[in-house]
Amino acid sequence: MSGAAILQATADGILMGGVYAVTAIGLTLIFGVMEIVNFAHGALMMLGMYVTYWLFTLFGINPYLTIPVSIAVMFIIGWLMQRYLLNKIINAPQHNQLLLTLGVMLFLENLALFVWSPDFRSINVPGLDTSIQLGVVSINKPKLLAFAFALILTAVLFIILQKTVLGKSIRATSQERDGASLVGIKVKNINAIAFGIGTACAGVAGSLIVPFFFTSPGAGAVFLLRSFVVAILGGLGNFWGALVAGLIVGLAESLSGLFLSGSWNDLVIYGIFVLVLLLRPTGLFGGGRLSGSH
Amino acid sequence: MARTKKGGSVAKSKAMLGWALPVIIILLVLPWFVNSYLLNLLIMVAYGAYLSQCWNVMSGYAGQFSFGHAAFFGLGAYTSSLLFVDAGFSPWLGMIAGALVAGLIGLIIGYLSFRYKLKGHYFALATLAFAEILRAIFTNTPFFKGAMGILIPISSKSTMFQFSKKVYYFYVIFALLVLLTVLLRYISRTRLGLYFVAIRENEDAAAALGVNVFRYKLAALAISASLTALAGTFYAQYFSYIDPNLVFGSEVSINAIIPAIIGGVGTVWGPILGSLVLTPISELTGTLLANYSGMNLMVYGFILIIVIIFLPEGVMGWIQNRRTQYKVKQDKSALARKEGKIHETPLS
Amino acid sequence: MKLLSANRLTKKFLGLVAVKEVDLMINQGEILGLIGPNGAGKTTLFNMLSGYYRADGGQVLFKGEDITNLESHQICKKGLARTFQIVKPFGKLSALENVMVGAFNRARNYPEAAEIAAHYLAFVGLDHKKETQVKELTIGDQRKLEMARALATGPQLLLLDEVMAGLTPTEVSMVMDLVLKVRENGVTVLMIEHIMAALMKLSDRVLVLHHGEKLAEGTPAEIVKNPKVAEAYLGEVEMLANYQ
Repeated sequence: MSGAAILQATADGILMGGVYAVTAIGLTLIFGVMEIVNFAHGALMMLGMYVTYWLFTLFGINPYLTIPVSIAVMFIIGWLMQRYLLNKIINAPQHNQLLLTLGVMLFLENLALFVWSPDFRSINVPGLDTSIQLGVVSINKPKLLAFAFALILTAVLFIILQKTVLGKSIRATSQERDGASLVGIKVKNINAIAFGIGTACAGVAGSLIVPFFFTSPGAGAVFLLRSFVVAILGGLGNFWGALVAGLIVGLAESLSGLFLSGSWNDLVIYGIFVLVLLLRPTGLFGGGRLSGSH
Repeated sequence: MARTKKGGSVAKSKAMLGWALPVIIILLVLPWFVNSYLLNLLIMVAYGAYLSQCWNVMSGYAGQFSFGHAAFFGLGAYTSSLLFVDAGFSPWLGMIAGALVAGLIGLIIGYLSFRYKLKGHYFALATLAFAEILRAIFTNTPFFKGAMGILIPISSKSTMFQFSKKVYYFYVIFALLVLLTVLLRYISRTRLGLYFVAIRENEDAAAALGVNVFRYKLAALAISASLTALAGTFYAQYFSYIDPNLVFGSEVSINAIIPAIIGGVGTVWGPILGSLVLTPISELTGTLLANYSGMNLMVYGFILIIVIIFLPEGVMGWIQNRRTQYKVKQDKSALARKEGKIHETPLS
Repeated sequence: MKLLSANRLTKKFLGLVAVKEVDLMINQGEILGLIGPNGAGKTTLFNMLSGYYRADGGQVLFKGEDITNLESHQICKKGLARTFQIVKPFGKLSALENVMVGAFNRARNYPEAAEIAAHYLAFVGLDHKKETQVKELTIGDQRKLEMARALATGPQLLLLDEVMAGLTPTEVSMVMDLVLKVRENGVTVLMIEHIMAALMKLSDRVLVLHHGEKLAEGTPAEIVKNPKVAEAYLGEVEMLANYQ
């Protein structure tokens, strides 16, 4: 095993870790506020991918400039989903909410299959297809950008939650639902907004992935399980935890890929997942209740 | 007083038998007179109901929500198929071996999960992770034939769990379904069944009443896992091909969950009703819109959303609630009449 | 005769001491009342005795046998049953089936369990609600059901955690009669209760917890006169006095 290969794998792992963190942040927010395990997260991400893909393909808009559109579209979809579906069963047993998101996942993924066919689509953005060479290590530009966005997104969400009035309402709702509704915050409305933000995060993740990944109806599902692992490892509801956990998962995947053939590295990822669930279900850094700060 | 209740339920199950027997007889004769398409549909209905009934034992009755039943299904399929292809063992024996293997792995998964007190979402995610771990192992191990999967050689020998006529596959899966349903009805009237439901409804209270919660959860998981493995073997023999994605993929787990949810979780008839509704819809959309793969799953998703919102306890739950409401109304009007405050209720 | 004794029982949560070295002794056939202001550690003590919390120190002896930190189902098997402050019914089961879960602690088969369950439903006066789904019952009936369930396990010692909370005055007096009837049937009772009048009337002895420590112990009359108890309770002291 050459040192260069290990360095390269480490760089790839860190970059991919940033991508995983982006995909997991919306998931962790939604769980933190509403304690919903959102199986539709991957499918929502996939919709974000198509937004970017079509805007680029039809109008030639730079993928990174499509992000605001992706945010807007996905926020509305998420808001509607919470307002008109999940809020209806807010008092139902936990697993019913999980199943509802599963229903949405099945529906959206297969709707996409119907509308856009199962084709794998990729885009070619001038200037993005090259890599940056750092000594022996080459850095994939779109992944580097995704990594940068991961940091920005985490910081932005953190500021929204900690410093704004909306953030205070969201935190209040997540901490004590009954109490919050007593002091006049409309829980259902806050939930819808929070879910919208979480979904918008999925949209951003989708947009960021398009330049280096295939856009297809099943693309979100590829990231869904990884997102679960990252969200749990970081502590559900903990953004900075998700960021660190993303890096851990990315590194574990790329480094174990270096030493193990085939898809054995899946085993490493799910092994970590099971161990965390068993030994530290609140994640490496604690969480569960939108602690956010540490 | 206890005796009247028991007498009542015996009368009830006799009535049920009187109703079920003709249906069973019709279902035994009918397959000889339908075309191959309908026969396949009947098989898939029974298969879907059986798979979901297995899930129902652990997740419906005992309340331990599994999102990874593919693990046990895959173990059943692989155990019998490997024994058949590599060692020449009849899949009938392999089926039993598969049930034992799945039961054992189920015990290990359960031991770890319950020992560390995983509940709700966390337990569901853990079962999903265990299924994915098995998928990774089977995909990457040459001994298990890797991602290529296993093609079951065709022999048409019934001793090898292969039949010249499809109708016999129907008999096999139908027999499994009937046996499991009878077993479940029986269990639901025993200490075991009562403990399962008690654990589902409130673990702490059950423990306070002397129920060894850990042990009974393990029992539910092991029983459910073994039974699910039988469905795996059936799948391998009926379709003659398995690979890690087909049998360990989350689609299997979803197929195990949804009929029970639609029909009614934790009820004897729920999964059967669910499969009766879902499977034909899914097969029909599959054939009518054959050019658009995934349409059936889209319909699944749609139905799931509608049922969760409007019939959160499934069709059976809805029926039962209607019945209680009706009874309560009747009781109230009877009481009102007794007290001389007769109002003309527009009930009947 | 000593039925249960706890020695220097201690429980900490995140470094905070909830129960501190409490000694407790219950004689066979006694009704022992446990009182204390909110947060005094009463329920925590119950949870340690019944195996829900692991004690951080101390020992529990039941019938001379060390049962410290056994699992709750094992403790139930030994003959110590409890109810919960917040009722925990099996909502989807009928009243009879709820009690049967308890009855199976000693019954060998289904009919026997049904028979025992029917007996205890009648004992608490719920025999006419046998077939009712428990989530349909009133809070008063649910509390009686919890008692029936616990009694059906065949305990020698019954821990009652605020069985009278949220009940109407009529229901309170019914439950009081019930507690006395339980004792007549040879079951020893340890009860937490906020309704002082009821507790003082029922208890042979009363134990007062305050800030996790034992503040006083004695007959109801002694407790009422105890100035330390009066101080701990402040406003509630009038309630005590009024009863006497």
